[in-house]
Amino acid sequence: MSLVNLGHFCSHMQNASRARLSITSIMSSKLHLGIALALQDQGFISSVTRGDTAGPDAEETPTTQENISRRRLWLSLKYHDNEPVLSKMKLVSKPTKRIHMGVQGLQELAAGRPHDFVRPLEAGEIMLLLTDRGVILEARQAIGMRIGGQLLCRVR
Amino acid sequence: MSALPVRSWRCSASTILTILIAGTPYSNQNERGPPLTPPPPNTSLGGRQLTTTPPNPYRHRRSLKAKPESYTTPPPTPYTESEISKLSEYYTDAQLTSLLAGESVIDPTHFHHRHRRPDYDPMKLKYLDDLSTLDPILDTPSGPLTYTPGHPLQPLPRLKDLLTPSAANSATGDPPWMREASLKTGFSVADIRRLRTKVLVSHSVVNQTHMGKIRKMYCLAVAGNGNGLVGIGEGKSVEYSEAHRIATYLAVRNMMPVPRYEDRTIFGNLDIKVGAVELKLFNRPPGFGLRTSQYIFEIAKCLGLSDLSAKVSRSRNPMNVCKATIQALRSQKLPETIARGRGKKLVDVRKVYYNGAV
Repeated sequence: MSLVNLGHFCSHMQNASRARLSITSIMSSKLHLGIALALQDQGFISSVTRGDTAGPDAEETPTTQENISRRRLWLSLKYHDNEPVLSKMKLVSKPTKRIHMGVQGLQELAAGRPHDFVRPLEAGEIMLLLTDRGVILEARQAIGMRIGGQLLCRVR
Repeated sequence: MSALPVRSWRCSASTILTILIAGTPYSNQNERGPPLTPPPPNTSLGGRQLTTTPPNPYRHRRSLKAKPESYTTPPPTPYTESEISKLSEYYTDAQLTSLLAGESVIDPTHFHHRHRRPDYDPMKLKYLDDLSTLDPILDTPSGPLTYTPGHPLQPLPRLKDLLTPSAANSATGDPPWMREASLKTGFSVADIRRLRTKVLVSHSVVNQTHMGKIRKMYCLAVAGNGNGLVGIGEGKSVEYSEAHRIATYLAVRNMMPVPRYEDRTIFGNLDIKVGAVELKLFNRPPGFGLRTSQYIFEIAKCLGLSDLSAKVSRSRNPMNVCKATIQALRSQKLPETIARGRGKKLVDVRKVYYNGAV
């Protein structure tokens, strides 16, 4: 569970959006896959595909000891009205300082009030957190399920 | 957009006992509390008053405060069969199923007891009266008074209008820059006269040429109609009056529509960097006021914002702050655009769930 690599993921998504790329690849890991699927669920990216360093897979390829070093996740970005849909993606928990939050704190953030030195959520902004259920949830989903977790990143 | 707050009743044993003894919360609100009208004079002692001071109707102020509707009305009950059959006269079966499904998601007791977070604004003025409606006697009439000719209170014509011969022919009485702006923008000259304009920045600038130092006056003006249009313009000339004129003319020409949330504040918070100016503009609740520095205040007034907060850091150069403010206001992202881009439905909880009360 590397926040360093997640930080690279966040920077790369911002750079790719600014460069108006249609499809981009990131390191394939369990955390990254969870975040990518959450982003797709929230409508920030349109597709998540497994692939190689060369490009997304044409057909399903199993990950083996031989090809694991070349495996990547390919995400396709969205643009609307001449603006990227995913324009900012920032870490909340850093490798040096992990931030955990319970349901009450998440409710404060969702209601537009700061809590525990975390800035509140703006309109159209989401907060992804790692829960002990083993799944990455958005803040409002976590509030509905009455669970908290480690805040990973915020996306708008 | 916002999550639905859920209250958690964490009581100790003693509080639970007191609640059980006193009865359920919100049960006797109809019997409790005196009426809101002042009480009648005390005539129980044979009509003899012991004091000449009239009783203050607001002495029981705390208990006189109006209780929310949820305290005085019973909570809503599920629809009966007759009600559903009446609804089906207006909605199709598919609409009805989706409506009932949507309503069933919300907890009815929580919806009934929804209340707003108390205001902790120390600058808020504490009024006893409800100022949402106009009092026929105490409030001056709103809008311009128009009297028909012959009415005793009709406005008298101004003396200078009678003395100048060009008053009759209004076309020649207008300044040429207004006529030019009217042609370019499509507004009538009367509309341009009614615009709110102000010179925000003016100073002299010097250009060193082979002939020597040429000193000119620079002006930056803002123009707006107070209802969604604002623009800025810069003018430079050897004479101050000419620079003022050019700046105002260009400000009127550069007016553009800027979206406003509820016609009083911006959509969300903005954080932009224009040149060396780092500008933060904050969306604020109704009644907050324009708590910004002077240049942003004037631009907000011309636009028609009534609630705004701003923070300017790094450079505070007046000219660049004005330009940054206009750029920031034009760079607002509407919730509709966000919703379309993400393919989601964004709901303003303040309007839908709290009915504009929060």
